[in-house]
Amino acid sequence: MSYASRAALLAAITTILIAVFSATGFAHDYKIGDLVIGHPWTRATPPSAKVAGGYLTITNKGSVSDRLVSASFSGSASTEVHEMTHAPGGMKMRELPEGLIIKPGEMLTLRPGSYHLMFINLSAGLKQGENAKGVIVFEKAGRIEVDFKIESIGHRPQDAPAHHQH
Amino acid sequence: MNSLRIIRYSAWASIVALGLVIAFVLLNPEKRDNQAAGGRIGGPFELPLAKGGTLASASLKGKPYALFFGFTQCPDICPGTLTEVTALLDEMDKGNLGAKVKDFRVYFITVDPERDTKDLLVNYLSAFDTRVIGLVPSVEALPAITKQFAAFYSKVPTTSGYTMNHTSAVYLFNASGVFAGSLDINESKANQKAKLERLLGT
Repeated sequence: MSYASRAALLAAITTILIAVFSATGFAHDYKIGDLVIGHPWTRATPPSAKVAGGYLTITNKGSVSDRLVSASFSGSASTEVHEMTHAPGGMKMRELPEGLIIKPGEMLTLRPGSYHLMFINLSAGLKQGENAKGVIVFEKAGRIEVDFKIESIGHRPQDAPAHHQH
Repeated sequence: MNSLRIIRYSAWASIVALGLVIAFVLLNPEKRDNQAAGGRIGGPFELPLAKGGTLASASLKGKPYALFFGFTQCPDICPGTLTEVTALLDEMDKGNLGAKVKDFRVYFITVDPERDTKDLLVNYLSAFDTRVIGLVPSVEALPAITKQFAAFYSKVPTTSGYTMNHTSAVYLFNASGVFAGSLDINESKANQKAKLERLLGT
């Protein structure tokens, strides 16, 4: 094998390895029971901000419904499940004290402008590029610790549902 | 036959319901009022600036400006709008409007003056373009100022305290201080930029 072709082979292997590792890093999925949690993320916060939204997808691969009962976030005093809706000319918020149902075979998306976790009374600002730990509690599947990836302040997923279907 | 009759009745019921919906949409008084109110949005105001002092609308004569309502304990739409406004201004700086963009101001009026103190708002807005200026109305002045801009806001109780509903549009005012349309966070950036360029170009 010539030096050039060996170099080319090495480059190809390196590319594949990088692709595989970054793909696993990107997928950022968790499994608990019949549920798959996809890419939990939040946003960096402006100085003095006291709240942040938490976003993720939950896919129910089982045959019975489950319910997201509650969540907690390492950087905030409390966490609630909220829903934002667009009203004519504005936005409306409400807490969902009963949590969110995930029906069998369905994927529920928590995303900006819709269902989200509300991290309340942040102890410190959230910085882009870092991760922050959180816990999601399901009625049947139980509790799972996840990492929320901290995106930029105004980050918007281009196409949330498609982007998060791994 | 009984089931046939049920089908016939429900078909008629659907036609009546559809008719009512169409009538409501066509005659909806709220919508007509909003369209007619175009010229009434805005008007003279005087509000405390977060960084100290007062902003009187009279001092804005000859300068187009934008204004929107929000609060800092807003997880999504307020930081989202501020980020977009920052990006838009940045992009327009690269255009050929020069000083008109430099002198342009975007006012952020908090609808949560109980929690958004002046210092807090100054600090919060430091993450965005310096042309975004915070205004903190007194709790007493808030109903009148929102009414003046046909904006809504309300407290929504939650387990930990409260969150808020509010108008999210960015209002645009021309050099004469007359309402000149609005930006919506859900419209394309190109659209928003075109609207701002039109506002500043005139």
